Amino acid sequence: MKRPAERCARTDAVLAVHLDGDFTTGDCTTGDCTTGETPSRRDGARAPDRLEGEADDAEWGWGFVCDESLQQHLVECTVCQLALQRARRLDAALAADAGRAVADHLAAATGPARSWDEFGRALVDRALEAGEAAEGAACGGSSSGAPCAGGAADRVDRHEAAQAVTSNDALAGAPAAPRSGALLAASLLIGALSMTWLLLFTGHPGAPDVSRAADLPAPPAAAPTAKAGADRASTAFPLEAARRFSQAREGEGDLAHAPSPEELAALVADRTATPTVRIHAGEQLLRSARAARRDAGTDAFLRALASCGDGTADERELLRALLPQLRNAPLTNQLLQRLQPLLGDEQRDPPDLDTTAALVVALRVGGDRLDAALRRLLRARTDLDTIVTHGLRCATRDDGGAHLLLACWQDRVAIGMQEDDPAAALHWFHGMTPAAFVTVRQVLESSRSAPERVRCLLALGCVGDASTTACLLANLRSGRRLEACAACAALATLPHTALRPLLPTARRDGARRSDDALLRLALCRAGLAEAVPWLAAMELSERQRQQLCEAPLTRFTEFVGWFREGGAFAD
Amino acid sequence: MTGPGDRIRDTAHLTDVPGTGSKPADMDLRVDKQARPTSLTDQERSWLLRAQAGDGAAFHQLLKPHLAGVLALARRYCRDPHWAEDLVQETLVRAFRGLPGFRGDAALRTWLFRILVRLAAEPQRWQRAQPGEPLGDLDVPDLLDVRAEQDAMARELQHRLDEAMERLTHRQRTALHLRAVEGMDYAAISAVLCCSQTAARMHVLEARRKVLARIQEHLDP
Repeated sequence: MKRPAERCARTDAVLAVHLDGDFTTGDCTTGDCTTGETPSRRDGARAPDRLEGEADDAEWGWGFVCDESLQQHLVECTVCQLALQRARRLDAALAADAGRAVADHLAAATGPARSWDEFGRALVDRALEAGEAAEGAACGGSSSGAPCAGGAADRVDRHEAAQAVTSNDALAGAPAAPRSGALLAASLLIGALSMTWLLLFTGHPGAPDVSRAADLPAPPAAAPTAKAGADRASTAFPLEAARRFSQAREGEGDLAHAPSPEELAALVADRTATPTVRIHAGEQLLRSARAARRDAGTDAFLRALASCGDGTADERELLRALLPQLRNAPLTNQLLQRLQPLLGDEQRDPPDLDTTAALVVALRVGGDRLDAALRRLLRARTDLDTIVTHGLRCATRDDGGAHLLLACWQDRVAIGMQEDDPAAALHWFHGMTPAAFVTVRQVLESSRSAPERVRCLLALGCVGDASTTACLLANLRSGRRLEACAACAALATLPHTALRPLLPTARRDGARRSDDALLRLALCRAGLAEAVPWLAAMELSERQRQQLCEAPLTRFTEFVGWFREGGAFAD
Repeated sequence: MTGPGDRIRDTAHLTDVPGTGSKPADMDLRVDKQARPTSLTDQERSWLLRAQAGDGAAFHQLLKPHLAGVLALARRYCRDPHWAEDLVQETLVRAFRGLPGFRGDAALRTWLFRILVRLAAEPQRWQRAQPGEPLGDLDVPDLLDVRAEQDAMARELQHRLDEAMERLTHRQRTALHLRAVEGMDYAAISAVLCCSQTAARMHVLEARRKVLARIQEHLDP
């Protein structure tokens, strides 16, 4: 009997026959079944090295392996018995692993309530739409609604080609985005970038009240041509179109003279009109919007919605009334269709005005389909981050867009473009609405993924007030090293007014615990004047001080050692 | 829908299928032979014809039994679930577009897997999305009960297994997954990988040896 530590030359044959059901291996074709070993093995060659040579069975000698001799060998050989047991356990573990991965995927993608059948149907439907859109795009008719030749045309009309945003093949043949509005788009982007500059240089970086005003500037096309009177409740609209719109609504006028979609969109954008009128105009536009058709009225409507913010009660009311209605098809499909050219643009040209407006509206509308498409888009187009973060700084979503932002951050970390650090947190969460941070705290409490909790903690450092101090302090003392370091880094980004109440705790000269040292590190990184004596006591060099303030989370453990051993607790 | 791992759990598949082997039925205890037909059934052929004519519902019916397996293999290539889903969707798009050319001579499952494997072999598109999450601290059990502990151990094994599989070559990983999870025989694996049966066999055995070398201490009772 062989010892288990030894290798047996027949193990591969045993596994092939008894585990993989390789009957040809077990056929004794030559009558020589004394070894069960391949000639190559006997010569000392390793079989895999010659795999690409496509050797046949006879060359490798599998024909020499006899089933009866292998069975007899298996009874006697402990090495093969053990290898067979392990291989069976491995196969079972792989199968269980695959089953668990798929179950996790289903739960993450759709929640536990939905079945595999529904999920599979959604997958196939999306693929069908994307495939059909690819065909439609290849013949140049998907976005314009022009018919294609053959049976594909019918299918394009049926499925609207909206999900093609997920298909690279479809995008390869998709028509380029219209460039006629390139100048306007550029000005819009410049506006967005200038707002970013303002945000970065007006006070504390986490101040949400400043950034909340960072809405996209109103497009010139949507600007009203006349001003309303002082009485905003008046029904005497400043535009001729508004008057005809009112008549059409009340059934007094000729419907043939009802305002065009462009005029309705201008009404929606008219900040001097009453919210009721603007909402009615928007609803009228929504009713008239047709699936998979792109018209100037819908473009103007999206531009008007994108230009609205939540700075005034009127605009909040307008967005609250209109955005939920956009979550229903067909306008959701239209939004996806408008985003499609962004994915196919390999030159990464700045999006034109209409595409930018569609992107902003899609961000504000949210929902599973739009968020998934936006996430795919942001994986390919990192240059759109500024527009995305600005578009989400508007209190129109219940989750504040936090789920989307966390997912995008995770994607960037996955492809190595970002790290889990305060800079990335500021990139995504700077100036987000309070709802976003409420969602982040919920994710922090419910998540079982350490990296996700770290990202949540770093995001909480962007709140800009003292509301998250207790939460960060609790996580700093949680005992989980990486999360404690993340909480420390997040605390360091809070304003000084929020950090000063922590000074008595940090001055405590107790057991010199790591969490106390981390708290002091946070106060030092924040640049608090009261922390200067601690730095002086450690007698750090200029370079070390710079490292203390700028080094990534992974070095925090080292810094804790400086604080614990460098005399910082001597005060 | 047939899920990945069913072969292991469902012992009813451990029966002989006429025409798939040359050994008598009393040899069945030693092997898990290919349990699925290699060509389309009449029902599948009907769905195929309707799907080729543009019937989306028939396309769904045709693919429904294979979706979980396709997703499981995609997850083997892309640990990030979203990339995996993208890969599956791209596979389905390619399948949809290639459906008119599919005659049904080969098994639909083999055809689907072949599309997926070829797509996944494009590293610039799919293999860049391996999240760098550290092992060991991904799932902290909230309760120190037996179930939580078992769950944590299972997750640990899962992570080790994933790590070991990721160190395999593309072909070895595919071959072992198709053999262990999908229960394909060497002939089907060779059809998916477009190689000889000998090469498929050696890919499976070598992959198994490499993975076992990394995680056998976790598998031993």
